[in-house]
Amino acid sequence: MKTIDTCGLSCPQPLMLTKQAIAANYSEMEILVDSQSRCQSVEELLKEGGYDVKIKQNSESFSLIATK
Amino acid sequence: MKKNFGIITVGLLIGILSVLLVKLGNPANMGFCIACFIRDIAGALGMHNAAVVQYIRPEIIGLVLGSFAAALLAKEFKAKGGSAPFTRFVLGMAVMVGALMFLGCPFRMVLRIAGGDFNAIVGLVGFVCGIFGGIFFLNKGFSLKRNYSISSFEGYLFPLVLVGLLILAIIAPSFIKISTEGPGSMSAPIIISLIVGLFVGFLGQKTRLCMIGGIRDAVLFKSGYLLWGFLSILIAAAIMNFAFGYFHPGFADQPVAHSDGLWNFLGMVVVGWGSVLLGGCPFRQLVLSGEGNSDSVITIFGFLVGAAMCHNFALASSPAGPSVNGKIAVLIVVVVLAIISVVNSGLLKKEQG
Repeated sequence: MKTIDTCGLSCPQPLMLTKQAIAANYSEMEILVDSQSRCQSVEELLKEGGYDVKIKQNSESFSLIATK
Repeated sequence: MKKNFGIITVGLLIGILSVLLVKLGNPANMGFCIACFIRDIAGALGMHNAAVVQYIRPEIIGLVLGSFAAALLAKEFKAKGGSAPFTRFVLGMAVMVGALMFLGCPFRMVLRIAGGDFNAIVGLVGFVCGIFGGIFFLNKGFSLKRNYSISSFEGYLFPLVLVGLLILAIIAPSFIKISTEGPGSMSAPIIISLIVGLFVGFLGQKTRLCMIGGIRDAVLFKSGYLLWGFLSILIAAAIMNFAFGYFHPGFADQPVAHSDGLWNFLGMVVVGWGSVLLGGCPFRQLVLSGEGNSDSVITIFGFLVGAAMCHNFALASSPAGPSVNGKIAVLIVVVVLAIISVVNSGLLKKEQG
Protein backbone atom coordinates (compact mmCIF):
# COMPACT_ATOMS: atom_id res chain seq x y z
CA MET A 1 0.00 0.00 0.00
CA LYS A 2 1.28 3.47 -0.94
CA THR A 3 1.85 5.72 2.09
CA ILE A 4 1.92 9.51 1.73
CA ASP A 5 3.10 11.46 4.76
CA THR A 6 1.90 15.07 4.70
CA CYS A 7 2.57 15.83 8.39
CA GLY A 8 4.19 19.16 9.11
CA LEU A 9 3.86 20.54 5.58
CA SER A 10 2.49 24.03 4.94
CA CYS A 11 -0.77 24.63 3.11
CA PRO A 12 -1.67 23.59 0.47
CA GLN A 13 0.92 20.80 0.12
CA PRO A 14 -1.06 18.09 1.94
CA LEU A 15 -3.93 18.60 -0.49
CA MET A 16 -1.58 18.79 -3.48
CA LEU A 17 0.09 15.49 -2.56
CA THR A 18 -3.36 13.95 -2.13
CA LYS A 19 -4.42 15.27 -5.52
CA GLN A 20 -1.29 13.80 -7.12
CA ALA A 21 -1.92 10.46 -5.43
CA ILE A 22 -5.49 10.43 -6.74
CA ALA A 23 -4.18 11.22 -10.22
CA ALA A 24 -1.74 8.29 -9.90
CA ASN A 25 -4.84 6.14 -9.34
CA TYR A 26 -3.52 3.92 -6.52
CA SER A 27 -6.13 1.34 -5.63
CA GLU A 28 -5.18 1.50 -1.96
CA MET A 29 -3.26 4.21 -0.11
CA GLU A 30 -2.67 5.66 3.32
CA ILE A 31 -2.41 9.42 3.79
CA LEU A 32 -1.02 10.78 7.05
CA VAL A 33 -2.15 14.26 8.13
CA ASP A 34 -1.38 16.15 11.32
CA SER A 35 -4.60 17.99 12.16
CA GLN A 36 -8.34 17.49 12.37
CA SER A 37 -9.13 20.24 9.86
CA ARG A 38 -6.68 18.84 7.30
CA CYS A 39 -8.11 15.39 7.91
CA GLN A 40 -11.50 16.74 6.82
CA SER A 41 -10.26 18.48 3.68
CA VAL A 42 -8.13 15.49 2.59
CA GLU A 43 -11.10 13.18 3.21
CA GLU A 44 -13.32 15.37 1.03
CA LEU A 45 -10.78 15.36 -1.76
CA LEU A 46 -10.40 11.57 -1.59
CA LYS A 47 -14.16 11.05 -1.67
CA GLU A 48 -14.46 13.37 -4.68
CA GLY A 49 -11.78 11.19 -6.28
CA GLY A 50 -14.01 8.16 -5.82
CA TYR A 51 -12.30 6.56 -2.80
CA ASP A 52 -13.80 4.99 0.30
CA VAL A 53 -12.07 6.48 3.31
CA LYS A 54 -11.45 5.06 6.78
CA ILE A 55 -9.86 7.32 9.40
CA LYS A 56 -7.65 6.12 12.23
CA GLN A 57 -6.35 8.47 14.91
CA ASN A 58 -2.70 7.96 15.88
CA SER A 59 -0.90 9.67 18.74
CA GLU A 60 0.49 12.57 16.65
CA SER A 61 -1.42 12.23 13.38
CA PHE A 62 -4.41 10.85 11.55
CA SER A 63 -4.25 8.04 8.99
CA LEU A 64 -6.69 8.14 6.13
CA ILE A 65 -6.93 4.73 4.49
CA ALA A 66 -8.34 5.22 1.01
CA THR A 67 -9.49 2.32 -1.15
CA LYS A 68 -11.30 1.92 -4.45
CA MET B 1 -23.36 25.78 0.47
CA LYS B 2 -24.09 24.30 3.88
CA LYS B 3 -20.42 23.72 4.66
CA ASN B 4 -19.67 27.32 3.66
CA PHE B 5 -22.29 28.75 6.01
CA GLY B 6 -19.82 29.09 8.87
CA ILE B 7 -17.14 30.94 6.96
CA ILE B 8 -19.69 33.22 5.27
CA THR B 9 -21.15 34.19 8.66
CA VAL B 10 -17.66 34.77 10.06
CA GLY B 11 -16.63 36.80 7.00
CA LEU B 12 -19.71 39.00 7.29
CA LEU B 13 -19.04 39.54 11.01
CA ILE B 14 -15.40 40.44 10.37
CA GLY B 15 -16.41 42.87 7.62
CA ILE B 16 -18.87 44.59 9.95
CA LEU B 17 -16.38 44.74 12.85
CA SER B 18 -13.67 46.14 10.57
CA VAL B 19 -15.79 49.14 9.63
CA LEU B 20 -16.93 49.60 13.24
CA LEU B 21 -13.26 49.91 14.25
CA VAL B 22 -12.96 52.79 11.77
CA LYS B 23 -16.12 54.34 13.22
CA LEU B 24 -14.53 54.08 16.67
CA GLY B 25 -11.28 55.75 15.65
CA ASN B 26 -9.07 53.58 13.41
CA PRO B 27 -7.77 55.19 10.18
CA ALA B 28 -10.12 55.04 7.18
CA ASN B 29 -10.32 51.67 5.39
CA MET B 30 -8.01 50.36 8.12
CA GLY B 31 -10.25 48.56 10.57
CA PHE B 32 -7.70 45.82 10.16
CA CYS B 33 -4.37 45.85 8.35
CA ILE B 34 -1.86 43.30 9.50
CA ALA B 35 1.02 44.98 7.66
CA CYS B 36 0.16 48.52 8.80
CA PHE B 37 -0.45 47.43 12.38
CA ILE B 38 2.80 45.48 12.67
CA ARG B 39 4.56 48.52 11.15
CA ASP B 40 2.90 50.71 13.81
CA ILE B 41 4.13 48.33 16.52
CA ALA B 42 7.67 48.49 15.06
CA GLY B 43 7.41 52.28 15.36
CA ALA B 44 6.05 52.19 18.91
CA LEU B 45 9.02 50.03 19.92
CA GLY B 46 11.41 52.55 18.40
CA MET B 47 12.52 50.26 15.58
CA HIS B 48 11.82 53.07 13.12
CA ASN B 49 11.37 56.80 13.47
CA ALA B 50 8.41 57.55 11.21
CA ALA B 51 6.55 59.67 13.77
CA VAL B 52 3.14 59.28 12.12
CA VAL B 53 2.99 55.47 12.32
CA GLN B 54 3.83 54.52 15.90
CA TYR B 55 1.30 52.73 18.12
CA ILE B 56 0.99 49.33 19.79
CA ARG B 57 -2.04 48.03 17.92
CA PRO B 58 -4.05 45.85 20.31
CA GLU B 59 -5.78 44.19 17.36
CA ILE B 60 -2.57 42.27 16.55
CA ILE B 61 -2.22 41.09 20.15
CA GLY B 62 -5.90 40.12 20.21
CA LEU B 63 -5.71 38.17 16.95
CA VAL B 64 -2.91 35.95 18.23
CA LEU B 65 -4.39 35.51 21.71
CA GLY B 66 -7.85 34.81 20.24
CA SER B 67 -6.42 32.12 18.00
CA PHE B 68 -4.40 30.76 20.95
CA ALA B 69 -7.61 30.48 23.03
CA ALA B 70 -9.52 28.80 20.21
CA ALA B 71 -6.70 26.33 19.59
CA LEU B 72 -6.42 25.46 23.29
CA LEU B 73 -10.18 24.97 23.65
CA ALA B 74 -10.33 22.75 20.56
CA LYS B 75 -7.21 20.85 21.67
CA GLU B 76 -5.61 21.94 18.39
CA PHE B 77 -2.72 23.79 20.00
CA LYS B 78 0.50 22.08 18.92
CA ALA B 79 3.96 23.59 19.22
CA LYS B 80 5.73 23.04 15.91
CA GLY B 81 8.66 24.52 14.10
CA GLY B 82 11.71 23.94 11.98
CA SER B 83 10.34 24.39 8.47
CA ALA B 84 12.95 26.67 6.90
CA PRO B 85 12.73 29.34 9.64
CA PHE B 86 15.16 31.85 8.15
CA THR B 87 13.72 31.52 4.65
CA ARG B 88 10.37 32.33 6.21
CA PHE B 89 11.89 35.33 8.00
CA VAL B 90 13.19 36.65 4.67
CA LEU B 91 9.84 35.96 3.02
CA GLY B 92 8.18 37.90 5.84
CA MET B 93 10.44 40.87 5.13
CA ALA B 94 9.74 40.54 1.40
CA VAL B 95 5.96 40.49 1.88
CA MET B 96 6.23 43.59 4.06
CA VAL B 97 8.18 45.49 1.38
CA GLY B 98 5.36 44.70 -1.08
CA ALA B 99 2.60 45.53 1.39
CA LEU B 100 4.12 48.91 2.29
CA MET B 101 4.57 49.70 -1.41
CA PHE B 102 0.83 49.15 -1.85
CA LEU B 103 -0.03 50.41 1.66
CA GLY B 104 -1.87 47.42 3.00
CA CYS B 105 -1.91 43.67 3.48
CA PRO B 106 -4.50 41.53 1.63
CA PHE B 107 -6.96 42.12 4.48
CA ARG B 108 -6.74 45.90 4.07
CA MET B 109 -6.83 45.48 0.29
CA VAL B 110 -10.30 43.96 0.71
CA LEU B 111 -11.33 46.76 3.09
CA ARG B 112 -9.99 49.39 0.69
CA ILE B 113 -11.99 47.91 -2.18
CA ALA B 114 -15.04 47.89 0.13
CA GLY B 115 -14.44 51.61 0.75
CA GLY B 116 -14.49 52.37 -2.99
CA ASP B 117 -10.70 52.68 -3.40
CA PHE B 118 -10.18 51.60 -7.01
CA ASN B 119 -6.39 51.57 -6.50
CA ALA B 120 -6.99 48.48 -4.40
CA ILE B 121 -8.68 46.79 -7.36
CA VAL B 122 -5.43 47.35 -9.27
CA GLY B 123 -3.72 45.85 -6.20
CA LEU B 124 -6.10 42.88 -6.36
CA VAL B 125 -5.12 42.20 -9.97
CA GLY B 126 -1.46 42.18 -8.89
CA PHE B 127 -2.34 40.01 -5.89
CA VAL B 128 -4.03 37.42 -8.12
CA CYS B 129 -1.02 37.47 -10.51
CA GLY B 130 1.31 36.96 -7.54
CA ILE B 131 -0.79 34.02 -6.32
CA PHE B 132 -0.59 32.46 -9.80
CA GLY B 133 3.17 32.92 -9.64
CA GLY B 134 3.27 31.09 -6.32
CA ILE B 135 0.99 28.35 -7.65
CA PHE B 136 3.32 27.87 -10.62
CA PHE B 137 6.13 26.98 -8.21
CA LEU B 138 3.85 24.87 -5.99
CA ASN B 139 3.08 22.84 -9.11
CA LYS B 140 6.84 22.54 -9.70
CA GLY B 141 7.16 21.01 -6.24
CA PHE B 142 7.90 24.10 -4.14
CA SER B 143 8.15 23.22 -0.45
CA LEU B 144 9.83 24.69 2.61
CA LYS B 145 9.85 21.11 3.95
CA ARG B 146 8.06 19.88 7.02
CA ASN B 147 7.99 21.21 10.57
CA TYR B 148 8.45 19.10 13.70
CA SER B 149 7.00 18.88 17.19
CA ILE B 150 8.87 21.12 19.61
CA SER B 151 8.47 21.85 23.31
CA SER B 152 5.07 23.28 24.22
CA PHE B 153 6.76 26.19 25.97
CA GLU B 154 8.09 27.38 22.60
CA GLY B 155 4.47 27.64 21.48
CA TYR B 156 3.33 29.46 24.62
CA LEU B 157 6.16 31.98 24.51
CA PHE B 158 4.86 34.24 21.72
CA PRO B 159 1.39 34.68 23.27
CA LEU B 160 3.18 35.42 26.58
CA VAL B 161 5.40 38.03 24.95
CA LEU B 162 2.29 39.61 23.46
CA VAL B 163 0.69 39.81 26.91
CA GLY B 164 3.79 41.77 27.92
CA LEU B 165 3.33 44.00 24.88
CA LEU B 166 -0.30 44.54 25.87
CA ILE B 167 0.80 45.66 29.32
CA LEU B 168 3.17 48.15 27.66
CA ALA B 169 0.28 49.38 25.50
CA ILE B 170 -1.88 49.93 28.56
CA ILE B 171 0.65 51.61 30.87
CA ALA B 172 2.33 53.43 27.95
CA PRO B 173 5.73 54.12 29.53
CA SER B 174 7.68 57.01 28.02
CA PHE B 175 10.00 54.74 25.98
CA ILE B 176 7.00 53.52 23.97
CA LYS B 177 6.38 55.95 21.11
CA ILE B 178 2.82 56.90 20.28
CA SER B 179 2.02 59.07 17.27
CA THR B 180 0.37 62.38 18.00
CA GLU B 181 -0.60 62.91 14.35
CA GLY B 182 -1.13 60.78 11.25
CA PRO B 183 -2.54 57.24 11.03
CA GLY B 184 -0.65 56.11 14.14
CA SER B 185 -2.60 58.62 16.24
CA MET B 186 -5.93 57.29 15.01
CA SER B 187 -7.21 54.31 16.94
CA ALA B 188 -10.27 52.78 18.50
CA PRO B 189 -10.10 52.53 22.33
CA ILE B 190 -7.57 49.88 23.43
CA ILE B 191 -10.15 47.64 25.08
CA ILE B 192 -12.40 47.63 21.98
CA SER B 193 -9.47 46.97 19.63
CA LEU B 194 -8.33 44.13 21.86
CA ILE B 195 -11.76 42.51 22.17
CA VAL B 196 -12.43 42.74 18.43
CA GLY B 197 -8.98 41.30 17.77
CA LEU B 198 -9.60 38.43 20.20
CA PHE B 199 -12.95 37.66 18.61
CA VAL B 200 -11.63 37.78 15.04
CA GLY B 201 -8.57 35.71 15.98
CA PHE B 202 -10.83 33.11 17.59
CA LEU B 203 -13.00 32.93 14.46
CA GLY B 204 -9.94 32.93 12.21
CA GLN B 205 -8.64 29.82 13.95
CA LYS B 206 -12.02 28.09 13.70
CA THR B 207 -12.51 28.80 9.99
CA ARG B 208 -8.87 28.78 8.73
CA LEU B 209 -9.69 32.12 7.03
CA CYS B 210 -6.89 33.14 4.68
CA MET B 211 -6.85 35.87 2.07
CA ILE B 212 -4.58 33.99 -0.36
CA GLY B 213 -6.11 30.61 0.44
CA GLY B 214 -9.38 31.60 -1.21
CA ILE B 215 -7.97 32.30 -4.64
CA ARG B 216 -5.25 29.62 -4.35
CA ASP B 217 -7.64 26.79 -3.43
CA ALA B 218 -10.19 27.89 -6.01
CA VAL B 219 -7.49 27.55 -8.69
CA LEU B 220 -5.84 24.37 -7.39
CA PHE B 221 -8.76 22.39 -6.00
CA LYS B 222 -11.85 24.20 -7.29
CA SER B 223 -12.69 24.70 -3.62
CA GLY B 224 -14.64 27.87 -2.89
CA TYR B 225 -14.55 27.54 0.92
CA LEU B 226 -11.92 30.18 1.76
CA LEU B 227 -12.97 32.38 -1.15
CA TRP B 228 -16.36 32.76 0.53
CA GLY B 229 -14.60 34.27 3.54
CA PHE B 230 -12.80 36.78 1.33
CA LEU B 231 -16.01 37.72 -0.50
CA SER B 232 -18.20 37.98 2.57
CA ILE B 233 -15.76 40.35 4.31
CA LEU B 234 -15.82 42.49 1.16
CA ILE B 235 -19.61 42.53 0.93
CA ALA B 236 -20.25 43.24 4.62
CA ALA B 237 -17.60 45.97 4.78
CA ALA B 238 -18.96 47.62 1.60
CA ILE B 239 -22.50 47.66 3.01
CA MET B 240 -21.26 49.11 6.31
CA ASN B 241 -19.21 51.75 4.46
CA PHE B 242 -22.33 52.75 2.53
CA ALA B 243 -24.32 52.94 5.75
CA PHE B 244 -21.77 55.16 7.50
CA GLY B 245 -21.11 57.32 4.45
CA TYR B 246 -17.51 56.05 4.14
CA PHE B 247 -17.91 54.77 0.59
CA HIS B 248 -16.10 57.12 -1.79
CA PRO B 249 -15.54 55.46 -5.18
CA GLY B 250 -12.57 56.59 -7.24
CA PHE B 251 -8.79 56.55 -7.64
CA ALA B 252 -7.88 59.98 -6.29
CA ASP B 253 -7.58 61.11 -2.68
CA GLN B 254 -8.21 57.71 -1.11
CA PRO B 255 -7.29 57.44 2.58
CA VAL B 256 -3.77 56.15 3.35
CA ALA B 257 -3.29 55.16 -0.31
CA HIS B 258 -1.62 56.37 -3.48
CA SER B 259 -2.74 56.06 -7.07
CA ASP B 260 0.40 54.86 -8.87
CA GLY B 261 -1.13 51.86 -10.62
CA LEU B 262 2.05 50.07 -11.68
CA TRP B 263 3.49 50.06 -8.16
CA ASN B 264 0.20 49.20 -6.48
CA PHE B 265 0.12 46.26 -8.87
CA LEU B 266 3.74 45.18 -8.30
CA GLY B 267 3.51 45.64 -4.53
CA MET B 268 0.62 43.19 -4.37
CA VAL B 269 2.29 40.76 -6.82
CA VAL B 270 5.02 40.47 -4.17
CA VAL B 271 2.47 40.05 -1.36
CA GLY B 272 0.50 37.36 -3.23
CA TRP B 273 3.56 35.44 -4.38
CA GLY B 274 5.37 35.63 -1.04
CA SER B 275 2.24 34.66 0.88
CA VAL B 276 1.69 31.55 -1.25
CA LEU B 277 5.30 30.51 -0.56
CA LEU B 278 4.66 31.05 3.17
CA GLY B 279 1.48 28.95 3.00
CA GLY B 280 -0.77 31.77 4.20
CA CYS B 281 -1.42 35.51 4.19
CA PRO B 282 -0.18 37.76 7.04
CA PHE B 283 -3.49 37.35 8.88
CA ARG B 284 -3.17 33.57 8.66
CA GLN B 285 0.42 33.75 9.98
CA LEU B 286 -0.89 35.51 13.13
CA VAL B 287 -3.53 32.82 13.60
CA LEU B 288 -1.00 30.01 13.07
CA SER B 289 1.38 31.64 15.58
CA GLY B 290 -1.43 31.38 18.15
CA GLU B 291 -1.80 27.66 17.36
CA GLY B 292 1.82 27.13 18.38
CA ASN B 293 3.53 27.41 14.99
CA SER B 294 6.90 28.97 15.74
CA ASP B 295 7.76 29.23 12.02
CA SER B 296 4.86 31.67 11.77
CA VAL B 297 6.26 33.56 14.76
CA ILE B 298 9.55 33.87 12.89
CA THR B 299 7.60 35.07 9.83
CA ILE B 300 5.89 37.73 11.96
CA PHE B 301 9.31 38.91 13.18
CA GLY B 302 10.27 39.08 9.50
CA PHE B 303 7.25 41.36 9.00
CA LEU B 304 8.33 43.46 12.00
CA VAL B 305 11.95 43.86 10.91
CA GLY B 306 10.85 44.35 7.29
CA ALA B 307 8.49 47.14 8.36
CA ALA B 308 11.23 48.88 10.35
CA MET B 309 13.57 48.57 7.36
CA CYS B 310 10.90 49.99 5.03
CA HIS B 311 10.66 53.18 7.07
CA ASN B 312 14.34 53.50 7.98
CA PHE B 313 15.37 53.14 4.32
CA ALA B 314 12.43 55.18 2.95
CA LEU B 315 11.01 52.20 1.07
CA ALA B 316 7.41 52.62 2.23
CA SER B 317 5.01 54.57 0.04
CA SER B 318 3.12 57.59 1.30
CA PRO B 319 -0.15 59.08 0.05
CA ALA B 320 2.10 61.17 -2.27
CA GLY B 321 3.18 57.95 -4.00
CA PRO B 322 5.93 55.35 -3.98
CA SER B 323 9.55 56.32 -3.31
CA VAL B 324 12.46 55.58 -5.64
CA ASN B 325 14.02 53.47 -2.89
CA GLY B 326 10.76 51.57 -2.55
CA LYS B 327 10.64 50.81 -6.28
CA ILE B 328 14.20 49.49 -6.22
CA ALA B 329 13.38 47.41 -3.13
CA VAL B 330 10.32 45.85 -4.77
CA LEU B 331 12.39 44.86 -7.81
CA ILE B 332 15.07 43.34 -5.55
CA VAL B 333 12.36 41.47 -3.66
CA VAL B 334 11.01 40.04 -6.93
CA VAL B 335 14.48 38.59 -7.57
CA VAL B 336 14.66 37.27 -3.99
CA LEU B 337 11.27 35.59 -4.37
CA ALA B 338 12.35 34.07 -7.68
CA ILE B 339 15.51 32.64 -6.11
CA ILE B 340 13.64 31.22 -3.09
CA SER B 341 10.97 29.78 -5.40
CA VAL B 342 13.40 28.10 -7.77
CA VAL B 343 15.77 26.75 -5.11
CA ASN B 344 12.96 25.21 -3.06
CA SER B 345 11.07 23.65 -5.96
CA GLY B 346 12.17 20.68 -7.99
CA LEU B 347 13.71 22.88 -10.69
CA LEU B 348 17.31 22.51 -9.52
CA LYS B 349 17.00 18.84 -8.63
CA LYS B 350 19.38 17.63 -11.33
CA GLU B 351 22.19 19.84 -10.07
CA GLN B 352 21.57 18.73 -6.50
CA GLY B 353 21.74 15.07 -7.56
